[in-house]
Amino acid sequence: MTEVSLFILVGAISIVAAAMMLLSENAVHSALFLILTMGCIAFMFLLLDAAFLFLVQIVVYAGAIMVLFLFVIMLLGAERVGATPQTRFRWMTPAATGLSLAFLAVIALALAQGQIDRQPVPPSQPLLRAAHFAPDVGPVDVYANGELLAEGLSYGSATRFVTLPPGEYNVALFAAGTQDALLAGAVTLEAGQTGTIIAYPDGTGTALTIIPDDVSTVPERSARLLLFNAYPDAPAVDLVDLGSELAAAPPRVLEAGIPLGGLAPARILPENTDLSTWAFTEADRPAAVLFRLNTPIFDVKRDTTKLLVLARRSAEDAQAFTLPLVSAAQPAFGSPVAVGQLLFTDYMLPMQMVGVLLLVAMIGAIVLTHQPGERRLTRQERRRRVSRPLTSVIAAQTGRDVTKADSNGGSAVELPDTVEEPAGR
Amino acid sequence: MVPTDAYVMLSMVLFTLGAMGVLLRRNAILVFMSVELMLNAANLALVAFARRWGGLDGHLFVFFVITVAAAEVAVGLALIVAIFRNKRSINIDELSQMRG
Amino acid sequence: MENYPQLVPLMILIPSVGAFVNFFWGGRLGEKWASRIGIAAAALTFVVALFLLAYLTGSHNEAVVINPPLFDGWIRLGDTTVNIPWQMRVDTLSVTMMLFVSFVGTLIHIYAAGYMHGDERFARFFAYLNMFLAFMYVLVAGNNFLMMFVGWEGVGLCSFLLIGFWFDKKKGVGWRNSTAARKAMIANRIGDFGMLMAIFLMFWTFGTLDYYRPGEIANVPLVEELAHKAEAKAEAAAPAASEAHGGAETAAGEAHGAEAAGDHGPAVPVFTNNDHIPTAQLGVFGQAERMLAEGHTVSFGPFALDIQAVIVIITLFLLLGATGKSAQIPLFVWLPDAMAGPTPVSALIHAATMVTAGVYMMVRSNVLFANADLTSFIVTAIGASTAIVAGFIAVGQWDIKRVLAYSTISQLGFMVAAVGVGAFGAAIFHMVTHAFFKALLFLGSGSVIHGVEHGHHHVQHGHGDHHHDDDFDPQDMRNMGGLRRKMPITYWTYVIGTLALAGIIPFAGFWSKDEILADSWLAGLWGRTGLAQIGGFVALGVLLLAAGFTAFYMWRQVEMVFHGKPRTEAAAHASESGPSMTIPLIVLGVFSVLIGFVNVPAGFLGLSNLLGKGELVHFLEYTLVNVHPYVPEGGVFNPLIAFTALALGLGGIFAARAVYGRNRAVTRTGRDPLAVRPDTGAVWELAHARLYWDEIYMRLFINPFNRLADFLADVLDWRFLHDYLHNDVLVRGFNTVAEALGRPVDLGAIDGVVNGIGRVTRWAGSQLRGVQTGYVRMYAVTLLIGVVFVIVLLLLPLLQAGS
Repeated sequence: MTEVSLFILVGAISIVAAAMMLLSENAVHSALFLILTMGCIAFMFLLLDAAFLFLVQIVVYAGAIMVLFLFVIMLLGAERVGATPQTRFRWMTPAATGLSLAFLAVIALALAQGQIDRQPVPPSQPLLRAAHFAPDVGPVDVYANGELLAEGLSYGSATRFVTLPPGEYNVALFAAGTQDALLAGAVTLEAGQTGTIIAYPDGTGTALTIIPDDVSTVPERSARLLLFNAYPDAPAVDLVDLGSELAAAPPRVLEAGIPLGGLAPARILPENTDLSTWAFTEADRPAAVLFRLNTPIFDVKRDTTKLLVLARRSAEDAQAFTLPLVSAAQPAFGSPVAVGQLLFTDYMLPMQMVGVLLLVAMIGAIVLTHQPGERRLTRQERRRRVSRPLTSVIAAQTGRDVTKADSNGGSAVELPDTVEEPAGR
Repeated sequence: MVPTDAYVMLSMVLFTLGAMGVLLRRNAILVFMSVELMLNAANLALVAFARRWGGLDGHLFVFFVITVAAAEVAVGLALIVAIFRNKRSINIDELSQMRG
Repeated sequence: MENYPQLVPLMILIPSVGAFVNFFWGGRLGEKWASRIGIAAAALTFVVALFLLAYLTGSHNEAVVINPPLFDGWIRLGDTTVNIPWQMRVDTLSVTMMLFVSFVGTLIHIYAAGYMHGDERFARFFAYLNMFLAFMYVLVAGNNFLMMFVGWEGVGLCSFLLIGFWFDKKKGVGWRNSTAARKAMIANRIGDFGMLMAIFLMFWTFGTLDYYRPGEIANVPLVEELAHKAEAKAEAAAPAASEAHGGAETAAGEAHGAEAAGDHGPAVPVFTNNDHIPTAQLGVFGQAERMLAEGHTVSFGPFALDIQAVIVIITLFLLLGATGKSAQIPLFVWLPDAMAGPTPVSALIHAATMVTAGVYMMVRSNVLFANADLTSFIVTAIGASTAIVAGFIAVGQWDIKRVLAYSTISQLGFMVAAVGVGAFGAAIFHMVTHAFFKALLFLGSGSVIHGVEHGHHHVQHGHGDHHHDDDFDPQDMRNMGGLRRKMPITYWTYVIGTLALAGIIPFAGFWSKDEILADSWLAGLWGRTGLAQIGGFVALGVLLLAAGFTAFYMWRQVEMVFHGKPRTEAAAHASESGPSMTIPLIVLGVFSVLIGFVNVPAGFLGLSNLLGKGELVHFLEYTLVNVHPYVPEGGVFNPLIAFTALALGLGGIFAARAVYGRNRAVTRTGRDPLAVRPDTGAVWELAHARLYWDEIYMRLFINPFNRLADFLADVLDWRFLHDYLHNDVLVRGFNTVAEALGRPVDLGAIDGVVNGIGRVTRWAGSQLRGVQTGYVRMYAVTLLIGVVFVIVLLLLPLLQAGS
């Protein structure tokens, strides 16, 4: 079934269920219809890529709240209460109907005018990070348009992604702690773009380049792999799958000819792909292995974007080295991960407040409905009951003799043996 | 791809049904349930818009609405129970003691 | 001997101490000791007066001015501006006064001890009597007019206290007594006003109030004459210039102050006149004489008066004072009412002493009166008219003491008339004799009243009738009669007093009255101005008539009280009074006979060779410049006038005997025999009604004054000032303004606004309350309508843009 037909079906069911909820005389029926409506809405959530909310709707709303409703309905015996004839507000039905229809008409008109789907989506903000793979310059400070991006960035490390408004940026590298400009370059950031600025040695010195990163959502259980060559001693490199030691297969070139300062296109790898047989080699020479990716840090974790940068180990050591820059790929839209990420960063305070609210509501509910119930007689009263009737106690305190019938004509006050506190304090 | 308008319209219809339920039913619990229906309709609209604009803020708002609805239901039902204990009736037309 | 004058402060001190003791501890002392203290104080003052007399009749005749110890000046402002010292003057006039006042006073104190027996405020009475004596001595012994005024006021106060002594008697009698006391006080006050005005004028004119300053000679002519005589004798006897000695021994006028007494150092100059003293350092009289001689103008700011006119005005004011104190027309009305006091009071104050203070004052100011002819004439007129009017009224009175009161007024009129014609010595002489026999008569009347009261009580108790008939008036002569047998001592002494008063020879009154009449005749003949002459003759004629009246009403009284048969049971059972009362009567009786012989006129049957010629007047001459209106004839016996006076006196007695004698004193219907006769009936009724004098005063003065006072108090003060101005204008105006501000502005407007805001708010609230129906569905509908409305508003641009 297509999405549209599903939507129409479930939508119709929900409307009907809602209407039945309103019209039903039995309160339990109404509650059940409401549950059905909620289920339909949960399905709608699913259609709308809101997986987490689908779950929450079912568990909390339909599962807890409506159950609570049913509890109360049964407690009050409301299912037995029939519809009483309406004496007041006779005008309510036509008024409500009119009002609702007017409301719907307005909304429909607004929707028609609004053209929601035709509205452009506001783009997301560009992400930027800087990586330092120039072995000769030592730690650097990275400034973008005069603002400090990174301080004391050492060789072989990268900053985190920073959200910047789109525009022209003048990125400058200074030697750490000094005002000596080492490198400077112009960078244009566009919306939705993710970029990494890499300083790498390009044979004659240090060069600055921005490579388009990609941290968008990767398919389920997979990761994205990016390759960058910052090895000055090899003009170009190949990514080769050497195969297992046992199988005598020839090495399979996965990615050929990555030039210095060049980026291999992203490839999606399923989770836990074994990269231990992969290696960087010199271009067209599979035997000249520069680096083998056989350490565990190169394991493919899902929902990640790996940027593998081939570079010298250090300024002195000319050996090739690969550094993985791992950044988490964006989680799937509507996934619990995504919701959690947002909830625990930007919406921390409201979440805590809502938590307190829930606590208060719980306590309030208890307080409102608390009935002390029958109070057992304390030992004193029990004793008193045995040794001295309450009537004589009252007589002593009020001066009125209640043990016998009042001479005025009133009967003696009758007192129960147990004392109940009045209800609904 | 279902247009967002459809979801919003559906949400409005459900909302309207909920509003009519609040106005027309005299059973307090029914009124409450209608309020829940209205909340759900709002949630639906929120999620639809979240999907349209690509941000997860709508989801979070729905999360909060659900939570608050839970709290509100707890307290509201406690109130109804307390009132029922006193008046032995949950006909809201009889609960007019808070008149000015 | 020289130091005797130093005793004079004792005259004031001893009675003051007696009064003090009796006032504060008299109750505890009891009757016996209270009376003893009082009598002792009075007797001691008599002893001191005797000492002073001894001093003066020794070879010292000059006046002595005494500054009492511890008294360094009295009123002093600046060194020379105002200097009124507390000084006492010991001269013949003051000593004469002191003598008879102290003697009669002592006798009356003794009498009062018996008369006031049983009174609950016995000691207080004696305190008042002593206080009176002290003030009287201040009056008499002072050397300046202000001290005289202090005494003047003081005796007025004592008179008030003593007249109203029985202020607490029941049945309105106490009220009557206090009213009489107040009447005396008020009448005296009018006279005091005159005194004060005179004192102010004197001070303004002369700058001093002293009679004579120390060193000043009072009677310059006499001193000069004596000096001439002494010179002649000394020249005849020894040509030795013993002027200093002789002057020191015989001539008066040496400036011997108390400080320089007995100082026979270097030759002290002897002065026979005052020419060496500058005018500013003379006393009042000396300055007056010098100013009159030299001419002087007194400036009173915008206008000025000649000294003659000023002296006339001064003397007129002094006369006003005298009419108040000495009960002359027009201020005599208090004296008859003053009889409400106890009889000793009437005897001492209102017969012998206080009432004579006015005469004393005028005699002391003889220099001024002698130089003010107009005033002297008025004085004569007043004195004479008073004498005759009072005598006339006395005929119609029933009350025994009232008769005596009017008699006192009449005799004071004699004295005042004597002053008017210039017979100052005669006035003093009559004052002295009058003191004795009038005191005798009053004390006798007191004895009579006592006796009748006893008789009344005896009768009441005897009949077992224990409720007292308080309507019985023991002073009414109609309730008496035939007391001659019951009270013989009283009777005989009373007769002596009557004869003395009537001026029958050889009793005291004859001599003094005759002196006055003779001097009036001299004034008529030889008066300096026509006015004086007229005054003299008028005085003579009127006083003769008055003398006749005197004899008539006094014998009427004797007939009514003592002769005939008792008209009531009380009179029938009256008894003689005890010795404390009868002994003073006897003593006074003796003196009433003898006292006249101190001033026998020259040329009377050779008696003058035995008793001296006008010794008293001569004695007084050292102080008084003008003792006789015409000297040298003054003091000579005039047989014609004497015989006429005697005839009138005897005629009055026989006429009274004819009308009232032989038990016809009161008719069967209880009326006076004269009242029932058609020709004298109306006249007698007029006399009985006291010439309506009090009623006229009531209508002329008292009632308008009361009406004015009522008006001022009621209309002006109460109705206008208080009710209208204060209540209506101020209070009500203020209240109205406050109301206006309060009620409409504050309560109405401001409160209205404030309350109004509240009310509006409450109304609005009550209106808006209607929204809260309590029905949830109502709220829901409202909510929904609002929601739709808001959404439409929000979507409006969208909707409009599209369509």
